[in-house]
Amino acid sequence: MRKLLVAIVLALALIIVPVVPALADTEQEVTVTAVPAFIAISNAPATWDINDVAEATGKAIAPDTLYYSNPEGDTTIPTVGGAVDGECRFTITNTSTVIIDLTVLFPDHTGGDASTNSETGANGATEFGAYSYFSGQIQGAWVVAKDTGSAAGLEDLAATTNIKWGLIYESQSDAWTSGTPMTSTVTITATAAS
Amino acid sequence: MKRILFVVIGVVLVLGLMAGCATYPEEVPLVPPTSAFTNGAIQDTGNQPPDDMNWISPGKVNVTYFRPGARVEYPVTVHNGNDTACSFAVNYRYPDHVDGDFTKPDIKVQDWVIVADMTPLLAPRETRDILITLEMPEDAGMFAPQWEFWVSVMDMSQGQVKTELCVRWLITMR
Repeated sequence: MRKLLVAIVLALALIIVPVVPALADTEQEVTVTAVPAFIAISNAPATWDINDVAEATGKAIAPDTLYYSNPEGDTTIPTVGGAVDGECRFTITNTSTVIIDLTVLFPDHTGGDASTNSETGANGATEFGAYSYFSGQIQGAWVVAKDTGSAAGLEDLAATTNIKWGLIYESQSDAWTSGTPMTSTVTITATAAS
Repeated sequence: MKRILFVVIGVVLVLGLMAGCATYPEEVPLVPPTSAFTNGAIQDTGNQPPDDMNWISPGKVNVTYFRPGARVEYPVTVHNGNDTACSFAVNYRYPDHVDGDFTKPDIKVQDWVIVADMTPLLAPRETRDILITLEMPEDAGMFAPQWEFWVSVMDMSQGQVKTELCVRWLITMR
């Protein structure tokens, strides 16, 4: 009888030693994964001189006025039923290997009147409004270009597919006071699509 | 007979406790293997963008079962497609928008992200891995079950309309 009990004890011990740690392993390991993919865009041209203010004599940016980065004229609105390539100043060359989203940020100006982004798309006193538009988009799809936190201006751009786009700028509603130039650096951001 | 049974039960319990304690002395935050650091993404696909364009890889990093005290690492691969040496800015980036059920990060997250080299100077056509580390303090509160932040890469030689390439880090908490 005693030998039998000793045998049972040893058998149980052999079973429990490996099993107990396994039962205790309720911690799930942290995992990190990434799908092989490349995000690659370039943009041209890299400037927009609104209303040719620095390129042609007699040009100025009037307060409370809408300007479009439209090669057909900076005060010519792109086709509201769907902007066409010829109405877009900028070209994104996209060689990404995955579907991407594009997001446009239009920060506050520095220098001069230091006009700030209203973040609503509409202008106001000391505030400008801004939108981005992409070729093919109807007016209702044009997205407010904010200082930070813009929604994606274009979602699900196919891999290795180029796109043309533009900016809309509505100058502040009140008159300029400084008489000196101001600038803003616009950023177009590419991310893997949701 | 009863004494022997008590001894048997006692031995079994002691062995069980010893086995459990000896195997898992404490919870150890895990660091993923560093094999990804050897640019695995590039070797895997064979479908790279042109050499004369700036690019980054990967597009998304998914972290699951993350928790306070844990630390993970993954590199962002940056390629300089210019004919000249260029300085890049690599930074934590508060996302403009987030994926599906994910939320924007707590303001403190910017302190949890470490970029090994925030201003790398890349030679013409050079490709380099920049290590990104996400380390959540032990005493940090869990602000959301799923959250997202971006790692921004920007060529500093651009004009007034710049392009920015971002890696999306998607974090799912345990």
